[in-house]
Amino acid sequence: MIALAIILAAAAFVFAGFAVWPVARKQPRWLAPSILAGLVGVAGVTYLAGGQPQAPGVPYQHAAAERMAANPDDLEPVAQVERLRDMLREDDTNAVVWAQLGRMLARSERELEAINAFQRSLRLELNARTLSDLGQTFMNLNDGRVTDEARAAFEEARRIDPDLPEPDFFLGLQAFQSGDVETAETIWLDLIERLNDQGPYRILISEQVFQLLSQPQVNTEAVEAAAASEDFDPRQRIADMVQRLETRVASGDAGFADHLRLIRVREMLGDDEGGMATLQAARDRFAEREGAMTILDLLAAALQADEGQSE
Amino acid sequence: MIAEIGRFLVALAFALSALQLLAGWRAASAGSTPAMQIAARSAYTALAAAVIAFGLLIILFLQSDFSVAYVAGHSHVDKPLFYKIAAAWGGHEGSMLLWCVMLVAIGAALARFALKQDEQLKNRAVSIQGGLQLLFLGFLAFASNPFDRLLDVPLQGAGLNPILQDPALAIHPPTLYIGYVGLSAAFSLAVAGLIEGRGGRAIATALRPWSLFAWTALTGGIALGAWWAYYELGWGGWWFWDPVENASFMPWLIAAALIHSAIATEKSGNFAGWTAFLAIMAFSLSTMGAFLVRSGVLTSVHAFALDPERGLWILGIMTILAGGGLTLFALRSGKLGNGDGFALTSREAFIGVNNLLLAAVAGTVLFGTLYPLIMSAFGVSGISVGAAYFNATATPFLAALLIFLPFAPFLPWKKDGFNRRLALRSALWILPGVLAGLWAFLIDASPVAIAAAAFAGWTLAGVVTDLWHHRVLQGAAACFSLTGRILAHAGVVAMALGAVADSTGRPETVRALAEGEQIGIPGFTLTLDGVRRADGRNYLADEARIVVENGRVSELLPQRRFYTAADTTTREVAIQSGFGGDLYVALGEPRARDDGEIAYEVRVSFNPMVWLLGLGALLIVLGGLSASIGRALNGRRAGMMP
Repeated sequence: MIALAIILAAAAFVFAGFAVWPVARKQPRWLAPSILAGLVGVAGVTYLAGGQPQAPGVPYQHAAAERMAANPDDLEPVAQVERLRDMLREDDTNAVVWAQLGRMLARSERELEAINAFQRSLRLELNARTLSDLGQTFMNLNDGRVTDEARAAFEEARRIDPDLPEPDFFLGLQAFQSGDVETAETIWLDLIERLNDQGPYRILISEQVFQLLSQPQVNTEAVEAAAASEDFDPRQRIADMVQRLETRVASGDAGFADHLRLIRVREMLGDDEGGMATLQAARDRFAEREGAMTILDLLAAALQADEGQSE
Repeated sequence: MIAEIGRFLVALAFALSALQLLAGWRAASAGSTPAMQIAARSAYTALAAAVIAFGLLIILFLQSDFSVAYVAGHSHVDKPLFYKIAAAWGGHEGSMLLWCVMLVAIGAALARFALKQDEQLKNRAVSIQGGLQLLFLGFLAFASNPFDRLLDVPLQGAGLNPILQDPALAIHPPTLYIGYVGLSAAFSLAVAGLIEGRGGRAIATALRPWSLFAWTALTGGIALGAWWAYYELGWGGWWFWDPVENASFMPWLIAAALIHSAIATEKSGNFAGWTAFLAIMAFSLSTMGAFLVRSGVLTSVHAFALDPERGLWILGIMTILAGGGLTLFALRSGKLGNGDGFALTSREAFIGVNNLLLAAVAGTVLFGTLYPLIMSAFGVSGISVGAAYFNATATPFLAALLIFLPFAPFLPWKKDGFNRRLALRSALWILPGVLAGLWAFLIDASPVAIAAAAFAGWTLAGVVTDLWHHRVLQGAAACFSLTGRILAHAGVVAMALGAVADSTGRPETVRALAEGEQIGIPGFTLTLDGVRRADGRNYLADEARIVVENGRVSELLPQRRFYTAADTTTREVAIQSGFGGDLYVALGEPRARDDGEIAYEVRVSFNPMVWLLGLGALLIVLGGLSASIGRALNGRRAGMMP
């Protein structure tokens, strides 16, 4: 602040002094100092109308150095993104930082920038996790659809690291979204069997797979057409669906997904006993499929917990 | 600290401008030599302060100091160096500082170079210029300060508007401002002349070189803006009769009238009042342009500040300038003198017609531009005046200008000059006119365009005859002046022909193309060979490789860019220029087609002979520069210039 005051005063006197020099040695003696004082006064008042002499300048380099010195965990997400960008401005050949930046951007829903960051990372180093993250970002950008670009990324990720769970899960999802439930079921059950019993992914993915496979398969157009008619009865439609599933399960034609759907719909209708019976039927039918049994065990535990709560 | 020093220097320039006003006034009124010296030194130091302040603003941009609100709002650390510098004038506050730098530069130039033989008029003009500086620097210091600080410093800047991130647009504002602000010299000299009761001749002699220089810069600035619009906005137009474009066109028209009128006044004292009036109006209209751009009263793609409060400031300045200037004109124009008079077919008469037509165009443009504003004052909102109005009202006047343009150089001052020889000569101009009209007819031009082409052919023949007739002129000054006139008039012809070609309706096709697919317009087949990523430092881009076949094979690389900081997508068109015109290709959004293919929207058009517009603008600028050099040589010989 003192340095600033000295600089401003020096500037004022040099500039104003040059301007009034022609009358410096002229009569009346007070003229030059008066003009000088007037000039400095007007300039000072004009400056003080909005000046903030106490506010220091913040050149970007200084701000970046402070961010770099800080603990990343103490920074806000936007500052973390900026810190990663700062690191890349210093050295843009670090694939790990590019990938980390991509993840941070994806979390902030800045998908286009995230995709760019992942692609920059992959140009430097092909990495299965980064490919998987890229695929998921493509999906987020497309309202959850596994697009061709996302599928290509997941397939490449699976080729590089077959043990990584996400690519298989999303490739299964791609099959599921395209209506090929059987392939999706096979991919997912194989994936669950491959995963470590104690690892975090097994339960997480099993729950996701149950949620997806147990969704009723609805032909939206047909439902909309039916809903438009006057004698549309939603309860009757649900009963028809249950009837169809029961017939298929009883006949032994039903797949794993049909069983899960029947369990889910019976539970939703309050038919706990029926739900448990279907669960038992599924256990008997898929006893040799470890992945299926993992899902069914989780389901049984959840149903029992629900029962315990309702009692 | 840099920002605070910059703010203080702006304040200092403001104070020094006040001293320039007072000392200059005293010097003119009392003939005081010290006061004259103080006025001049104030002008120089105000210039130094303003230039250093502007330099400091650029340093703040180079440092990406986001504690400065203006830097945070218009820059980004990843912006290329050139655009970090250009961003210093890419927004309202910075461009206002640039405006003020130029204003004080004109003040210093007036103090240094103007009117060595008439110190009193010069001092008065320096004083008036000081007053103008005071108004604009006051506005800058108190209402639009580019050194305002942010207490909560953002991590990153918002970035410059991506469509402004372009070389032409980086140069366009400074060039335009030289023109706008250059007209302040003519204003100050005219007002000073009216106050001092000088005759029209003295005023015209004093303001002519300044107006010529300003008009040349204004031409360059407007041409750069039109060129930018042509290739950057992505739809191939170059003039949209947008309010902000009109705001630059009006002072250009009035300045064009002024430089012609001043010639007549200087030669024979005729049009003295009109010349002074035009000088006042030209800068007032420049200020009105600033008001339209910055107040938000009119909607425009060019407007870069929507702030009614700031608009009120500029409206106040405009009222003081135009109101004060015109009041003074009304009170003192009687002292300007009546001139020597002139005959009906003298050069003055044709210059008078030229002035009337230019003023009529400016009037219709002014009315069309302000009409929505006038109607909204009466409670009728949502009215916009489009190209149809401007084309219908301005084109006939401009076409008439072309008819009269070639005669004046062959006519004598004051006396009747339309003799048998000139009649025969002008009869010869009819043939090129007919040929140009025929050409326009053959390229399917509209009836108005055919007429304009015929007039342009006629004028071109007149310009060539002018060159031939006056080729024996002696002396460097006369040569430069003649060259200037020939180039500028030829430029007008080229622009007219370019506008005719443009009005014929360009072939255009838009299609969604997948890789390997073709699109065609007459004479060209284009194949989308592929699309690749072509990211830049601060944008992500898709770049299409389009193979063009028209007898030979070439390629074009249009881009679609996404600027992440500004969250904005732009089109970077690819243009293949040839004698016949420009093949213009823009790349649009990718989308999934019904057949499952990913296709890119590709827009192809052919803009016939658009190069004529650029050539015309270039010739006018070169003509203006040449005439300025001739004028300076003349002035030096007469002791009016250094």
